[in-house]
Amino acid sequence: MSTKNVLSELQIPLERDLFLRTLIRELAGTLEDVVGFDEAAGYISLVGQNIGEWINNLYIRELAVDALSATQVINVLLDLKSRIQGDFFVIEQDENKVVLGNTTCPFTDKVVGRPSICMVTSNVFGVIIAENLGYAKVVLQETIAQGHKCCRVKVYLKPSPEADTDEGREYFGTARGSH
Amino acid sequence: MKGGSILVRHAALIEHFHTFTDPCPAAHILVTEEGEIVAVNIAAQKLSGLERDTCNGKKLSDFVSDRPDDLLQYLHVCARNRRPMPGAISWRQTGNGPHEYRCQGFVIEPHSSDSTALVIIHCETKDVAGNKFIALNRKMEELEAAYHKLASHAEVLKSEIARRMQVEEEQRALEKQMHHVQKLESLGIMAGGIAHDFNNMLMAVLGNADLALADLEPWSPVRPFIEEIEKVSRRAADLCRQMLAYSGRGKFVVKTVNLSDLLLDMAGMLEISVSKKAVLKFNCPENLPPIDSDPSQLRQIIMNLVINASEAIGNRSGVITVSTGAVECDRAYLAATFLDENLAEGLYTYLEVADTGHGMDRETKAKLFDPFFTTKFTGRGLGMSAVLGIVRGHKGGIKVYSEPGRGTAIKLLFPAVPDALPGDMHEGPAGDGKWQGKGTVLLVDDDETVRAVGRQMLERLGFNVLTANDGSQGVAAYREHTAEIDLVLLDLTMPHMDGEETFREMRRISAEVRVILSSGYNEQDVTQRFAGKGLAGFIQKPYTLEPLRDTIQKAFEKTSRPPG
Ligand SMILES: Nc1ncnc2c1ncn2[C@@H]1O[C@H](COP(=O)(O)OP(=O)(O)OP(=O)(O)O)[C@@H](O)[C@H]1O
Ligand SMILES: [Mg+2]
Repeated sequence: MSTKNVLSELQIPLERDLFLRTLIRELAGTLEDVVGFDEAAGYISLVGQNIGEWINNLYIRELAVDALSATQVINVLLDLKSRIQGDFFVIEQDENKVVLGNTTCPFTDKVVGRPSICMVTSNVFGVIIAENLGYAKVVLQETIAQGHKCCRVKVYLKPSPEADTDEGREYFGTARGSH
Repeated sequence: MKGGSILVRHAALIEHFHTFTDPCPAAHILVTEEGEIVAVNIAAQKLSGLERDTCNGKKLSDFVSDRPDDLLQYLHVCARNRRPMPGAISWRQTGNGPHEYRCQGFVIEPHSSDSTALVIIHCETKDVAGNKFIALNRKMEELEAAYHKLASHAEVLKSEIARRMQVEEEQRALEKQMHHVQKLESLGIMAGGIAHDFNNMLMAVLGNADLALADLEPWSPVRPFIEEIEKVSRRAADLCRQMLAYSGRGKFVVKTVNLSDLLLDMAGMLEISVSKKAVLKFNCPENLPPIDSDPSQLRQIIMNLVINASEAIGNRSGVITVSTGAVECDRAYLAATFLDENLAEGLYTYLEVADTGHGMDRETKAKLFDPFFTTKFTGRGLGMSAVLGIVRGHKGGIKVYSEPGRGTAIKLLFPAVPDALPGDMHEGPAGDGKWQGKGTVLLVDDDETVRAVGRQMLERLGFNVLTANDGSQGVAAYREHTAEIDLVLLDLTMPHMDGEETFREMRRISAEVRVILSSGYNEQDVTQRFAGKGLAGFIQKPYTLEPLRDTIQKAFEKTSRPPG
């Protein structure tokens, strides 16, 4: 048997998805190690925002609306995460905020120890909410990356005294937004 | 939106922007989400060529070379975030500085229904901000290149590295030795300096005592007191000599010495100096080539070595073996000695003190001769440095063998006297104590007390005395009174123009000049330095009346020119 055949029959868990996730983990890890968490979070936020805009536009186009409503926004967040193999669910919700939970990370175990990757979630959420509702504050209360069993993400939909005192990232709507 | 209305609406914000960013060396721009410039701080004005009063409403994209779409997208992202978003900006026109900048942008005034968002962009030079990422990459590339090079030249490199390490090792050893020598030298200079000043003071004490004694009736009741002063002063002068021993310059009473004889004379004293548990063995052949040395100094170093040996044995039982012998030393052998200052090849007489004590590790061995190095509770750490100084003064060498737990052997090598004359090399006093001189003596010394005492002694010997405070005064005085002056008594160590130079100048005025040098250094050193230069005599400080009389008498006899 030729070497080529032998190799292709080996049972190694190498496929495109794992390859890409590992790649991202390594990129984020290198960034964190080299420039430190804060700067790394900045770079990853930039990436997250562009992805957030891209996803937002996909939904708006497919739903054929100018802007998403508050309910639509939350449904989009749940839908998008399940599409990319997360399993986000609503833990609690009122008109000012929503708390989401998640037990499997789209990056799988590759995220553990690399909290800068969570900036992707924060920014994607933040952009989609802020572009449609004009404001968002995303608080990563618990994350798998930091060793918690599941993620707990609190999202404020409006500025409020409660939002002000919470530790998180604020996002503002822009002139391009559809709100 | 009209620039003007922004200015009005955000007047306070713009004011604040300038207050906080103008003092800052980094460029800051206040810009709308759509890329209209609102304000630029001083640094940004320099970078862009924009002016504070006219910048408002201009398009940022006209001043940077980034693609307008990219710039807008970046501003847009910044408009969404209070936290700084990283980015990059390339200015079209900058003074002398670089064009490319890293930047951080964040929203200061979020977008609202009646106002566009305002963003602050803050620029940092790419290199200053240290694009650590790029730097790291570059380093890795360099490392990799270096690694490949290394791998391909591994063999060549290995030998090169080995060679360099050897050179470095040698250099280090050399430096160490130089360090040692320097230390000893500074100690020597210090000791020499102290001895010099001290000698001058002793000269006054001893001289005055001497003068007083000469005037006293033999039965005078104060005689014993003054004799005591004289005795103590001589002891102090002895101490001075020991200090000079550290500098390795003072061999004072140089005799031809048979080391074996000297040792056997000391045997009794050594026996009682070592610990009861130590057995002292002598291994001293009789017909040993003699050496030129000061016996009191030899006794001192033997004592130091034997006591160290005994202390190394401590309370256990052990043997101390003191041996002497002769050995023909070639260059290779001498190079392996501790003190190899170009020692001459030839016959050496050695003295070895070996013990079965605790020995020394490498570290202790390295510091053995350091002044003040000791591992003992009550040690002063001067024993071995004195040994070193004295051996050095004899142009000898030292070998040290030591093993922790086994013992130590220290071997001192002294150059053997080729055709030894037995006994004292110094001639005994020639005078009968009654000789009187006449004529004029010029006394040159920088020390006032020496001049005062010297003058009295010389006058007592029947001379007229002229004095000079230093070399140049001395030369001037000699020039003026060349014919009158029968003798110059010249101090060797003086500031500015020392005795040697003064002597040379005087010889230039008259080759006939009769000069006796005086110094705290030993006669051998000095006479060697002045060999063949027509020196009439030497007298070591501190001197008293009788030796001065003898020296002058001999000087007059040697140079037949009649006095007066
Ligand atoms: N024969 C020896 N065996 C082992 N160590 C020795 C021997 N001779 C000298 N040393 C080591 O070298 C050190 C320096 O010796 P050195 O004679 O200069 O000073 P010291 O004996 O400590 O003090 P002191 O000034 O009283 O002689 C000693 O403290 C000791 O550690
Ligand atoms: Mg000692």
